[in-house]
Amino acid sequence: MIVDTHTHLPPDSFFPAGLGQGPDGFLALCDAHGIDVAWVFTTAGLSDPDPRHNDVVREFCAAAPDRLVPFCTVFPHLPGAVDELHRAVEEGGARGLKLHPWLQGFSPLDPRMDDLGTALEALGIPVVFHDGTPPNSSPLQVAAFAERHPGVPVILGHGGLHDLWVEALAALQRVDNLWVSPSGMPPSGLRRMVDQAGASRLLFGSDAGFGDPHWQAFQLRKIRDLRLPPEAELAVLGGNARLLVQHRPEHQSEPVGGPPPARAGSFREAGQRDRGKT
Amino acid sequence: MTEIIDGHRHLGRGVDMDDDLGHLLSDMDEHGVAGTVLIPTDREIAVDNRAGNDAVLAAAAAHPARLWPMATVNPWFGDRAVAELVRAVGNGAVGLKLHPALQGFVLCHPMVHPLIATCQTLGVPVYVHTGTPPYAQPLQLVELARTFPEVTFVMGHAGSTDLKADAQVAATMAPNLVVETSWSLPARLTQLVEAYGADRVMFGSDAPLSDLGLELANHRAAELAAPAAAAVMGGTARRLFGTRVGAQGGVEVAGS
Repeated sequence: MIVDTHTHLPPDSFFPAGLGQGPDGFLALCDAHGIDVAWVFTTAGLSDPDPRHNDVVREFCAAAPDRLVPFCTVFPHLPGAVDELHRAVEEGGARGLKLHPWLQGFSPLDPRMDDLGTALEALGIPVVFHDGTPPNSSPLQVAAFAERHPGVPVILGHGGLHDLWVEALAALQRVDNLWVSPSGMPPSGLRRMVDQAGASRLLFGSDAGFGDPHWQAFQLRKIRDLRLPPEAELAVLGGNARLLVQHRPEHQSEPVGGPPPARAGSFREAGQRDRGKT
Repeated sequence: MTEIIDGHRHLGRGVDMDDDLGHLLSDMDEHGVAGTVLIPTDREIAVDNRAGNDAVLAAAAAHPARLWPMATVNPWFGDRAVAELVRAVGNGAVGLKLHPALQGFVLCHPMVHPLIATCQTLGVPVYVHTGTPPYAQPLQLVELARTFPEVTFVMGHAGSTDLKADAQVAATMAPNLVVETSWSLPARLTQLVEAYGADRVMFGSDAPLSDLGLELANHRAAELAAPAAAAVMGGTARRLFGTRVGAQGGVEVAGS
């Protein structure tokens, strides 16, 4: 099973070359690449705090609830952010939070982020950060948030991009509840990350929808070119992600994509396994 | 069949890059790449310019039909940087590579002007890494290109990752800019060709940081029309660098 942990709901006026129109078109693209499940984020809602963007994602994913996993977003520095998170998760069925500090205009270390971290832990959902772009989205800023909230799985959505993947590697080795989706990492940096930090907290995420239908093929090939042992490749392409959607509150129904792999431990155990490597 | 020239690839073992000549040549063979512009490694770009330049000059001298050497010097070395540039071009280097983020200067700072003036005198283009703020931004390159309108500048990586909009607008701001495509996905490549025109767009792999096969796959997926593809994949690089390589019989190395 392949899980794409980083896709954006298309299209909007700013990113017109997005994925196919509507869920059918998007699923057809996923099918073309053998992708079974996608975590879906808003695009327009990252620059517009109207909470209806969360509803749009929910409705998009409702077309194929076994394959499309809705994530919500909030603007942490605006009043009502925690309330909107609860609404989107408890009423809207969001399975995680997406934050984009430079588009949304806040620091991951803003004091108001702590209320959000507390809420995330209570809800039992992961948070995906855009990362790799200073001044508000460096991997170490995101990792510092993760250290303040060790009960929350925190995902670097890009592994530092081209310029800060060295930061992302250091952060991954230091912080147990940090995960990496390496879309945007150079292949050479990704290789070093796997060599030094292992692959058990690595996810497949394409950033599909943010501009180019070729993203999924490109990012899949980056993972496959690592030539990991088959079990490790399966974990990166899907198993690791299912540890994170498994980590969720009781009121939600069966995990997306069926029961999680038998060998899956908790996300904390995965983190501690990696720490032993370094 | 479209000739493929790789307009930007690093040779040698640096800190975050590692490639040797044997692998580089076999990688070119495997992917049907006729010629490659060779750049020194990260460490050599930052501080050990002469060693890096000698390495790419030697590799190109050994394979003159397939490899172009491009020199790098750090402008912080002042007059010594100019002297090393003159030496390297005299020995066959086909251009100057600058990396403002690795070398630590604001791209349009006047400290770099003596080097650009030297390139103008020598008649070689200037390739600049872009996309890493605050030091290596497309609009800083536009400023430099407007200051030296007779020099051809190559905008490395087209402002990837976060300055793509700047790179797009830059096309209309300085006609002496050419854009290099590494790290660009298919839709982006199409946009670059539309903005710059195919004869101002040059394929580059940025291997071994990126991967030659991955970058070529992106270009194939863009499905550019044949004339545009011929320019992007090889024609632009030939126009910038090509008289010294391939059919023309290779690099003349002074003193060798």
